[in-house]
Amino acid sequence: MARGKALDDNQLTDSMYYILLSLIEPLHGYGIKQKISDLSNGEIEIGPASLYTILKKLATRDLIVLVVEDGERRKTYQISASGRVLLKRDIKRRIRMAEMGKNVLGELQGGSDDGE
Amino acid sequence: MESKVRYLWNWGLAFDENRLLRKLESMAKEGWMLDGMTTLRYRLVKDEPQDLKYAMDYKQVKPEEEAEYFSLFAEEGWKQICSLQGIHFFCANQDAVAIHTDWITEMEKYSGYRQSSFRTMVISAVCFVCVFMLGEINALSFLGRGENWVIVIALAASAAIFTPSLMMVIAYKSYMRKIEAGKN
Repeated sequence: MARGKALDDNQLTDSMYYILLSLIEPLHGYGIKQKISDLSNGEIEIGPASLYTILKKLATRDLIVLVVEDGERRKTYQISASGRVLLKRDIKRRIRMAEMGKNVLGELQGGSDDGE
Repeated sequence: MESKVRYLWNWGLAFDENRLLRKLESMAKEGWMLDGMTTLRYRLVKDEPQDLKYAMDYKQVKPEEEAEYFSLFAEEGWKQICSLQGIHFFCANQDAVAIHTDWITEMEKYSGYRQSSFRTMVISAVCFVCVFMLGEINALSFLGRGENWVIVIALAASAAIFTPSLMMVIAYKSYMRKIEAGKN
């Protein structure tokens, strides 16, 4: 399935992108969720099943590393060196995408009235 | 005295996951709380009526990872109720965030389940063919006419496993198509 390969193509899915952004400092599960919520002013929420699946995927690809394990319960993760490289590239890609959209948005808004 | 335990038959999650979850929610409003499950049925016990949200996840979690998996749910307000062969039931207050907020991980939930149904389907199909071939050979040589019922039962058993597993594979495929169509 092509969409399963997003990571192989060195692109991050949106949820992966948010999680990697939050992990530039060491955080455990709930911390990740809270930081993403803070960074997005409460707009982005990550459910626990999605969070667990994505953390396991990012760890398997060595994009994040386990920092401390306090007991068995809470695992703390942080972005790895290769995760940083990939994240930087992905941030830039997303900025380019947004710039493209911005140029067109100007035209869209300057043109007809579309109820905005 | 009024009974404190009730059971709901498990008609196969593949066919009615959403209906089952909504049913559990309406039962919880009447004070019947999901408490445990077997392959055949769900057990509900009598408690105070509650306005709850139920969710089911399918994930094969290694024993050493279970604590992390369930604590992520607990931290977002989802309490684990029961688990069976990679199927996990949770409940939470109405304001809890959905357990899957990403269509890709949600698809993977069903593709994992579909794979295990697919394995069952292939194994039962192979059994069916093997038994059938054996029956053909036996009819010609060592088994007498009287022993044919053994073959018939074995054929019926493999067909009985094959048919629901095939239906499940199809049901999950359609779930996945729905998610893909509705992704945002």
